[in-house]
Amino acid sequence: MELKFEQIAGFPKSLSETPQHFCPGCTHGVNTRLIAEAIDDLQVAGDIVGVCGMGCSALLPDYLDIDMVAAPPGQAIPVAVGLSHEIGEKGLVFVYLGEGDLYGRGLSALFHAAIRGESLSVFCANNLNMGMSGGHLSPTSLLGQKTATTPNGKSTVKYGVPVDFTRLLLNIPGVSFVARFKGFTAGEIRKGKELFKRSLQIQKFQKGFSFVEILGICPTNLELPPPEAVKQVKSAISGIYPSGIFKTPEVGITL
Amino acid sequence: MEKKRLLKGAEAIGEAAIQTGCTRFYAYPVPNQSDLMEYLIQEENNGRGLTVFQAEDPLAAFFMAYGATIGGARVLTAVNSVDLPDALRAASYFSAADLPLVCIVFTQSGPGSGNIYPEQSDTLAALYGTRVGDGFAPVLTPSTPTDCVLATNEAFRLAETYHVPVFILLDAACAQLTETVDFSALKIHDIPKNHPTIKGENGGQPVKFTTLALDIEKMEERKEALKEKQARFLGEEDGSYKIEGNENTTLVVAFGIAAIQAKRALESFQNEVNPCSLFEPTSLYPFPKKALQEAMSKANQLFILDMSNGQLAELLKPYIPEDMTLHTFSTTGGAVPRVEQIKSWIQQAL
Repeated sequence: MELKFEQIAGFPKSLSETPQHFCPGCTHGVNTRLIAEAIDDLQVAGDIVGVCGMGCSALLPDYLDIDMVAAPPGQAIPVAVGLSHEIGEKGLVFVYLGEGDLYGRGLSALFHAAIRGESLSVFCANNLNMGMSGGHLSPTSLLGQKTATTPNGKSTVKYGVPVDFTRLLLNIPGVSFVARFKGFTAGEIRKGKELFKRSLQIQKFQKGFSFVEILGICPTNLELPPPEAVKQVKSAISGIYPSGIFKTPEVGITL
Repeated sequence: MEKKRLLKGAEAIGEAAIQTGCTRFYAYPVPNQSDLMEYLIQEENNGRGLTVFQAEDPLAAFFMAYGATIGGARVLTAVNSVDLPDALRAASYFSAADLPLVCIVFTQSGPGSGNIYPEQSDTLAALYGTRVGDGFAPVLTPSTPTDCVLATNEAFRLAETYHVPVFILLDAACAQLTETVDFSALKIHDIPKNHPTIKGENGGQPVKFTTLALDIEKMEERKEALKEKQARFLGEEDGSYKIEGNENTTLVVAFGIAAIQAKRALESFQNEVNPCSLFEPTSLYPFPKKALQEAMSKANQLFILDMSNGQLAELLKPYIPEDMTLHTFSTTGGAVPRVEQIKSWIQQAL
């Protein structure tokens, strides 16, 4: 009897073999791989363009074997909008960037692109701090969280209460798809790839604006070993940044 | 379309951009600049092959332009003086990524919000602000609507030849100045599009656009390439100018609406003073220094007229011989120098 083998796992074709600079335990490496796998599954490597922001995501052009553009801080969405206007008829455009970049100086562009219903897939890596700059306060940092610019912990008096930017997008008619998953638990990582795929499919067939937030950990700046960082972040974000599909044109995946 | 069109300076730029094959315009509407935007929207609706997009803010407009250029478009952008810093930030990225951009800066009275009346006080900011990180950008200064057409065509040529951002400084008065532009008499160059694009050829490898270079050696290579490009640009381009009356011992230098007013003033002299020459640089970078030095070699009296606190004089300083008698005259706050003012200024000095 002849045995037939089917490859069910392997090194994603769209992932480059360049060694990544991400710190041990960082979620960016997982996200990068998931995006590569989603692109491979959908067989869109030749048609897609990725735009990355500034910060830890800025080296994504080195790690993905697809056409990529690195945008200036705060300007990833406008760059992607311009690209989408030009190539959107025949290709897909996605944006991958950190929350410090997107919800800080990029917030206005995010909301305006969403309001216009631009044909884009935006993937935001929210790890509760501005990682590459050295662990500074980000718009999603939690109350009491110690960062390089809030050494005594983030206070409400000075910086207000953290806001769930992802769910702020829900009331915008131009937004087709909004979801969030944890990039540090096995079950959600598996479903995360499906969310990326769903977002890209929506862009391809419905031309709407879709948004996926990936909750991540930054063990280096939290000054914790990765397993401890996962444990602490998981408990701290509970109820503040829940996982789920918050808006979708059709029901399919559940978390 | 008609060969002759009655156009404002701002509209002449838009018409020239369309005829030069511009396919996208990104901007945020502000006074003076919005005349260009409105003209282009009208022509977009006439099916002229251009798409106009109003961005949420001027900086976003520039980076939408960045994305569209990478996607393969030929892009025009425009700002007024207030948003010039956004244009300079964008210029740094276009320089770093070797991408073309044409940006019209409608200059008005500043600093701060100032007012919407004409000034030329962004000259040095545009010239030196574009040098961030050793980047560079040609800077053109047309005056009449006909000049605006030629400068726009030239700007796209420079942008596509050297893959650099190009700035056109147009004061608010020139933007409103109206004349009949005879397109049949103008040579509008067909400019091939040859800038790098995201879906371009790269030997089968994915195309990457990044201005980040964490490696020092890689960054050094980039800077060396930029230096060579700038040297090539300065070696090949002389800088354009206009001159009226080449042989006179009195020389007036002005650009933009100041040059137009100076020309009117000089034409109105009737043997009241010796005839004067007028030198109008229509390019500030590269600066037509050889032509200016030649004009100055025949002169012993130099009059510099501008609409700022002496920025043109500061720019010309390195080219002025020590034995030259120098007179400077400026109007600011949005006031255009009047013909009578210029006449009496020259008469008093002589």
